[in-house]
Amino acid sequence: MEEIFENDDALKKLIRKEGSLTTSSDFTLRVMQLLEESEKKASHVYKPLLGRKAWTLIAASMLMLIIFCWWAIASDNPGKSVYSGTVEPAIDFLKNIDFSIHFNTSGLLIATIAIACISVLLSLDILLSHKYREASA
Amino acid sequence: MMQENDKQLISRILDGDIRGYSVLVNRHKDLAFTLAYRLLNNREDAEEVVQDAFVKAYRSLSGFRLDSRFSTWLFRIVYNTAISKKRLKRRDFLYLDETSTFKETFDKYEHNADEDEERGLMLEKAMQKLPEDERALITLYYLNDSSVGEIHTITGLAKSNIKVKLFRARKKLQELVGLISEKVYI
Repeated sequence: MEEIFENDDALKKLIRKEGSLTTSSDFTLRVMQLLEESEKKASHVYKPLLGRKAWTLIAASMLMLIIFCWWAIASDNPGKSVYSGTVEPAIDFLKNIDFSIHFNTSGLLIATIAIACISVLLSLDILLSHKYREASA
Repeated sequence: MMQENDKQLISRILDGDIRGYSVLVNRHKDLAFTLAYRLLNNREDAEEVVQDAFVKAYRSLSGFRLDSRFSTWLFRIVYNTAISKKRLKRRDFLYLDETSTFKETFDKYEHNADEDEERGLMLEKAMQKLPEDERALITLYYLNDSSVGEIHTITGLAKSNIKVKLFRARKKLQELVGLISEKVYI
């Protein structure tokens, strides 16, 4: 047992002198190239155009716009719905409000254009989110 | 002093100086490579593992705790990457094949080698006779001056197990390189 510890220094010297191996000469360069490539890749990451909050706000605005347009059309044709039959607002004072001031029937057109724009944005967002997930993987 | 330098370098790298990392790579690559080679016994695989380990280390550098040695942290990554690589390849390193291949190399140089080369070859031959995990422990213990605690952090082996394996490996190596007489322990 003692002999092992007595010779330990000699073994240590031998291992330090002869036991260390060296990498190929371009090793550091290769590692740095790999890192630079991964940095470039990281700076090209795709991010969604709109966040969850923005989409919630847009959805709420759209809902309000559609309801508003519906009322605007209904006020242009008092007593008639956009489809058929009669519309009798449940609350009396709504009968006296003139929704036709700004929108008239063009409200439906505005709503259609708005929905089309949102659809384009949504498609772009889905596409970019997909690329983002691929880039992060 | 060395540790201070590593810490300063890491702070610089974390501040965005990617070039500073090449200094860290240069400083630790050979030891990391030696450790990987001792586990894998293949030069190409060992280089690939160390390369991967350096990239992984760079990506998680912000998570490195500056109160520990960078080499210990890095070697843990190297060790785990090498073990994963070994499992992935599912290669059985046949002891007899290894030693016979090495014997050919050794015999080839035996007559021409100068004293240093001969000692180096003798050590390499002795190292090949140790199991891979013992080779790795010897590398960490003698080349990196790692304590049993640090080896435990790197390898995840129990401290008592490390002590036993280290003692056995040191004894075998001393016998094989002729520092002690084999008959004492028979």
